[in-house]
Amino acid sequence: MDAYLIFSNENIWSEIWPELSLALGALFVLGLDLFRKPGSSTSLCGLVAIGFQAILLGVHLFDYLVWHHTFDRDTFSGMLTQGIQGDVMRSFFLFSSLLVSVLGNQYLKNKSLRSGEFHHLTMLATAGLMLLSQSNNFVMLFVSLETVAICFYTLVAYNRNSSKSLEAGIKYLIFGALSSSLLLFGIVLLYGVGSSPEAWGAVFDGAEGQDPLGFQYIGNLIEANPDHLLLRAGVVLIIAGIAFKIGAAPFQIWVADVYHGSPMPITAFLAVSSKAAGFFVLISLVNGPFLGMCDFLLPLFGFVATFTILFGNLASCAQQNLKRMLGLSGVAHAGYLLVAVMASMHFAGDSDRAIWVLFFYLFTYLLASFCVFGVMSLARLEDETDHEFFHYENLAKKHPWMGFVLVCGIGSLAGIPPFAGFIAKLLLISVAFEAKLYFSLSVMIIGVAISIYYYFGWIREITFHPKPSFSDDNDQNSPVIWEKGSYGLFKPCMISLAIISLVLGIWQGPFGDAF
Amino acid sequence: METETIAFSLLLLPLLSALVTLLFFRNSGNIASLLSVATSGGILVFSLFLIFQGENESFVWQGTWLKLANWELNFGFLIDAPARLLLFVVSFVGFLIHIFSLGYMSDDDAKARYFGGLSLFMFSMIGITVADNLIMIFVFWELVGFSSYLLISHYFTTDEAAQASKKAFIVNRVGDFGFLIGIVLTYWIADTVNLIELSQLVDSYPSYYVTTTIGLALACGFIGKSAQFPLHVWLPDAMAGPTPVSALIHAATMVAAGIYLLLRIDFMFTSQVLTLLAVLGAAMGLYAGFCALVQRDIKKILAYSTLSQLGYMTAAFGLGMPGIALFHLMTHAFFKALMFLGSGSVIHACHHEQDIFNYGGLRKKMPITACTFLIGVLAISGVNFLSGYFSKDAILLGAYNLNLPVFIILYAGAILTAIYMFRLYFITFEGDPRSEKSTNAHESGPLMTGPLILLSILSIVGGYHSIFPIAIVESILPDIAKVTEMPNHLWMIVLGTFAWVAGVIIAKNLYRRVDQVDPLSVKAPLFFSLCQSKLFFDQIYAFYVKMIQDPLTRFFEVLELLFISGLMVRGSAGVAGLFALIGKTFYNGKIHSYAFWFISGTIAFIAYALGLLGN
Amino acid sequence: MSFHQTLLLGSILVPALCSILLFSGLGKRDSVVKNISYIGFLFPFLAGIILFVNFDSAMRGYCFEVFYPQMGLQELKITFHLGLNGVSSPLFAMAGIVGLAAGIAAIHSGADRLRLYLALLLIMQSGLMGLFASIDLFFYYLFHEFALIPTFIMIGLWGGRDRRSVALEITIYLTLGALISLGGLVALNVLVDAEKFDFPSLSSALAETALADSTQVKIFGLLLFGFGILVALFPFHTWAAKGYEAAPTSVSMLHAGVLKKFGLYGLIQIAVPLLPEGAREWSPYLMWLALGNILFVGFVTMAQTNLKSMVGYGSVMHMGYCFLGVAACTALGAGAGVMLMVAHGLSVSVMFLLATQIQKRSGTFEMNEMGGLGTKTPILACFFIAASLATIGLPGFGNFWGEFGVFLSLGQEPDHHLFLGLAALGIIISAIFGLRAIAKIFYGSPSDELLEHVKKNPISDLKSQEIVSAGIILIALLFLGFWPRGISDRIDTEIETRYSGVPSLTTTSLPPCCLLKLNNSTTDGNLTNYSSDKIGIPTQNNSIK
Repeated sequence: MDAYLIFSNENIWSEIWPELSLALGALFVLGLDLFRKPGSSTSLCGLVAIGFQAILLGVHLFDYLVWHHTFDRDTFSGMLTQGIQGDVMRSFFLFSSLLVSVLGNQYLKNKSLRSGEFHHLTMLATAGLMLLSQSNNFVMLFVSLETVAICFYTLVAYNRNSSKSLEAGIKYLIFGALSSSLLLFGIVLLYGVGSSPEAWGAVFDGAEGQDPLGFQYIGNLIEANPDHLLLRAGVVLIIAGIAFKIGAAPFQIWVADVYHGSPMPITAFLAVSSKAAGFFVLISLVNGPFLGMCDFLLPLFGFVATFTILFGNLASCAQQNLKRMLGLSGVAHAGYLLVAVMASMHFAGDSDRAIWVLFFYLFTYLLASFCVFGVMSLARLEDETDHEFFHYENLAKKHPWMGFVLVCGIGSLAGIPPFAGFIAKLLLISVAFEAKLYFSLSVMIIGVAISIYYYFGWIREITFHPKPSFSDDNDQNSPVIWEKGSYGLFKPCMISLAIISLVLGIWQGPFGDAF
Repeated sequence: METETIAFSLLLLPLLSALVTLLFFRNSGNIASLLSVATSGGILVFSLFLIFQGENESFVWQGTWLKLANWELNFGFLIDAPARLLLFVVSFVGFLIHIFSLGYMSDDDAKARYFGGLSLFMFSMIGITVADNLIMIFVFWELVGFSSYLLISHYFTTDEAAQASKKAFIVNRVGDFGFLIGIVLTYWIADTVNLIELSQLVDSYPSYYVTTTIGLALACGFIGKSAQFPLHVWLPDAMAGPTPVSALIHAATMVAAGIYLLLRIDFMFTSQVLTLLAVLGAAMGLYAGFCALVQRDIKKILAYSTLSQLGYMTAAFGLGMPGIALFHLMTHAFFKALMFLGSGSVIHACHHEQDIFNYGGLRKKMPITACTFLIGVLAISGVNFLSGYFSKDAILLGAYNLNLPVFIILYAGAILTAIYMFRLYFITFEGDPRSEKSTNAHESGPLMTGPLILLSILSIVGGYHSIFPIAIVESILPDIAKVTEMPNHLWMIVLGTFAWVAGVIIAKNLYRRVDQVDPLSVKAPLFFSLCQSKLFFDQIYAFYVKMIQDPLTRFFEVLELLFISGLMVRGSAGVAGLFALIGKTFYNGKIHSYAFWFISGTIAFIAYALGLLGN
Repeated sequence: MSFHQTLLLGSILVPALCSILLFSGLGKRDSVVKNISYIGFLFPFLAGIILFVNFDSAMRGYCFEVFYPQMGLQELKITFHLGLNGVSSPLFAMAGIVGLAAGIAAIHSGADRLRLYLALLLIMQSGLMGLFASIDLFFYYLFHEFALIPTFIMIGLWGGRDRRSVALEITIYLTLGALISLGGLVALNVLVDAEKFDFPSLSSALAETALADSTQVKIFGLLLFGFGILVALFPFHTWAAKGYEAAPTSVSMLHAGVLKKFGLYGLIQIAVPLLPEGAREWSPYLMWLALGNILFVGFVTMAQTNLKSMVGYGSVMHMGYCFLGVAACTALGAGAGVMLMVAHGLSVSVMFLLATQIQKRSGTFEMNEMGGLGTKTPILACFFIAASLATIGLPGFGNFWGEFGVFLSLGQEPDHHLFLGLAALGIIISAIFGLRAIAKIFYGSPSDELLEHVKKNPISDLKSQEIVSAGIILIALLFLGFWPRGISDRIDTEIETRYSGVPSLTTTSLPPCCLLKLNNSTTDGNLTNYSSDKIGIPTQNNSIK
């Protein structure tokens, strides 16, 4: 009985109900796929997945926004921690996953690929991401990260008919494994020192019985020994592992190739959810366990951010392939977000504002990315990985709504008023200014100015008259055919995303406040 | 009626007329011309009202026109004695020229534009006359330049008019550049630009407020507008406009506005500036005479003669006799307007033939024109007891007593004046017709001869200042009295008479019988071509534009394209592009080279952690 | 909400709503599209005029305030706060006038995909009205950026030569400028502990605790170069002429006429009053750069033979005067700068408008291939001459007062006399290229190319809608020229209060005449003696009468 009480007190399963239901939903979708009539084209799985996630998102939002169920506490013996930030990220991941399903539904229908596993894996990965965002222990962190990563390895290679997709899958697998090993090595180093501090020359009278991999423990350890070389090595290795996830230099090199090959919805998933998860982990680490090493980490981050911004922007300029370009520009965005992370380190202890800025930025990035990838997934090309600028010639005239959504998305990515992306950049600039990160700020401004070149270069293709080599109104000669007919839910979904990112640029409402 | 109401009506009436013409009568030239003539009649009436109201006292009125921080500008009237004189000249001569224009422009296609322009000119000229502060003068100053520009370019389809109008405006702008700076400096040194306040300040602290710099800067405006050395080049070219315009603007009124400006701010000049002006004026008097001597175009001769007479006025002013300058301004307005209108009558009769060597024998064809023209010639040559005699001999007498070198130059100019004026008269009106056009010429209608007759009467009697109401000539009386008291009167009468008689004799000998060739070019070819070169001013300016200004602009353009647009803008884009290409080369798709990034990154991170990177 | 407040808000919302209507495709028919856009352009015009007329010129601070504290980022103290003061109300009216003219030109431009064109133009218009109506600095910035994407698309779709590359180039350039100035604004936001992010709050907060001089210098530098790029300050001006040459007429009009005033407005209304020490420090450098605008760009303008690029360069050149006004750091300089901004906006936009009308008739912008157009198109010639002379700074048009005021403000300080002399050369330079253009286009005899063109396309004079669009601008210019008080009174009260805190460059507040007197140490009469004399002079000379 006592054991049961302890078990139920420590493990409050109701706290992770969204993850549980998502995982169950994923299983249900997989099961449903078994009963699909061979050859039938209805995408029942997709619809179920979309509906399920939409309901889940709604209930979850109600849960913490309206019923205010959120309060800070550790559960599962300190493996997980719940709080407002975690809840925001959970709904962020849910939302993103929902949109990936929406995109995927449309995409798989066009590609005639099986949909069951796709949605299953997406939902499982999301469940993993949601757990990641609550992890309070390095074991939990690693396990959930690996859950996510394994789902992604499969998803990236989902389009088995395409060699590019398979290649991307392999590359992602290899580099993912590499980064996981770095991360794991880092964790091991921390654990090694943490489990017997004195043996490694560290000074720590750690509380007995505390888990040496818990964030709390490691945090105290690091605070007491900020100059310990092994700890430092562990910390930078963990950061290197996460830098892979967010695509920060010098671990950014995989981004272009993997984005290039993956199926479109998965590219979006990678760009948004995976990156957001990386940033959330990063920012909670540097403001949690690694807080004691802020002074040591700041220059490193400064260098990484500068390099990331410049590399991302400059390399994007030379790209003709849009998916690669978006991947590299995503690298640049990672650089901007690193500036927010640095700012949060600057306000050590009072970092809520910087974290909120990061969230806002990620949210606008989500909106914009899905606008862009959503429209891109509608192109029917011989090889869908070969999205080039000229495929978009005159899109705005042929399909005004696609043009509108794309322009909104790109504008928001570029951070141009009056789109949400601008507000995010503004907040970022102001928070960076408060943190006195003048150098990073100027690098960022230069980066944004450079980014106009490729973003507006794309808008140019979309809106301007085509170059004379391609006929204006004769679709037959056009190198790209856009999906025709009814888009079902897809079109209103995309348009509302675009409108949200437009409205958020002018009126922020409740988003205007920090936590 | 309140005086300020009259003043406002006087000022705004021509503006209104121009506006109405522009808006409604663009295509009905006759209505426009009548409207304009009626307006000028109205102006005459109003200005006579103003002149005779208020018992010869200055009329002053002001209201705020603009206030911006510590700059307060008033719109004001200052109608004192010199203003009344100029008002009279402008409105009276202007009225006559309007009437003359009715006849002269009767067959022009663009009458409405012409008369609209005339009204605009009257507006601006009256503005200069009545303005009570320097900035307001400057405003109307520029407007006068603009209306002159419009009128010069009346025959804009000819390249000549197109170039001349542009030149006139730009050269005037050069003068205004200095004027502007002068005004700004004056404003900050004295904290006001109001003429009365300025004069009072100067009275209290002359040595402080009057500086050579400001004086010179202010004089720049005069030099531009009155076409004095070295900005005189625009005036002869400005003859491309219709002849009545030349009479009104480029002889009688606008160019005289420069003298008037000097008069209004005479307290702002140091003695150095005054001397400079006197020398400049005298030199101009002689120089323009030489230029006039060899011209073939009737209007150009008159133009150079105008320059020369303006030089006399400047000299008079520089010698400290502003009243005499004004006096000469008035008489000159009469006889120069007369001669210009006479030339207009000739040109009109000869179907726009302007070369005097294509005239000849016109006296018989157009007796009234010839007779009145002769009166003008006599007056300008200083024939005794005609109007020009009084004013010019006053100047000469003054110069003789005050500054001998200036006198000598002026006196040479006076002889020259008689020569070239009689040359003009003889070649045009005497002898036999030398072309088809002059053979068929006949006298102009009464609309044109009427003003000629009136002006010729004034050219005869205009020198007797006592015939004018005291309200008009009040300003010139003190200086006349001053000159009267000077010694050497008799000697001057002899010299003056000698000058014009000598002129007539030389001219008669040279030009009584001419063919298509200028006799002077045969007798003294070197002298002739020297005169014709006009000391190469036009060439120098053309050289400046062509060899300095144009290459400079092109040089700057290249600089812009090469350095700013090319090196700075495109260059930075190029650097970014270079790095972009370098960035792209990292993407070779090979897993091992990607792994290299990871490894080197890891090593760098660890090196940083271990403090190997120097932190 | 009162009538006036409704007008103010409506001038932003109505064009935006009309634009949304057009975008949504409710009115597909041409006549509906045109009528909707007429409403969209007329409303701001009328609002601008009515609010200008009803503005109480004795009033200090803001009139017709509209305040929504809930809107905007609370985190950064941003609120939605509209209102007009003496500086913004003339500019607001100017934006309305130019907007209507540009709108009429666009409606009758016969562009294909007219609906899209007008919709984009209306967005721009909405932003322009909002820009001058905003008190809050963030919304002021945001409204400016409304134009960025529409401009880009409009240049690309309806532009002229090199439109593809130019559109991209100016967007990059302008974004860079905008970001730098945003950096400055953010710095103000972060460093000044004000209640709200608007001028009154900032200035009252700064009155309590002023920023350190070095900080001021840095922030002012950011604002100066950010705004400078947006206003085409030398040597960051190359985008302007190129862009205006490539852009369609209405865009050039709105961009060169109104949008470009954003930066100067920011400098005059915000930067100099809030950061007086910074302004003082930068003033000499700014003077040299402004001279670069006047002389360097002036010479480049003289070399242009393409009418549109000449107008473009000319507009850049005249911005130099506005900058000089700012650099003088005095109320007079700033006030004159504002007057010049208003007049310059009007005159430049009418120049662009007429340049296009000329091109429509002659088939080219190349001035050497024209000539003698005046006989065939007298009204156009008349309008063009008026517009050119306005640009040149002829009295009678608004530009003159602005330029003169700037010169006057330069004369105040003996150190600036050099700049005065050099800057005044600009009046000659602009006369040269302005008159040269008139002569080349309208005077003389037609060129062979023109004759060739005319054979195929008969030339007609301006149509009524073209007359209206150019006419309203010229009337406004003439109004300013003949009755400068109409605008100077409004500016005066505001600028005097705003610049009361700006330390004058002169060390004491004595009138300059006394100062010079002291410097010259003339012997006759001492200071007190002089002053009493000065007072003795009757200023209202009724006594003489």
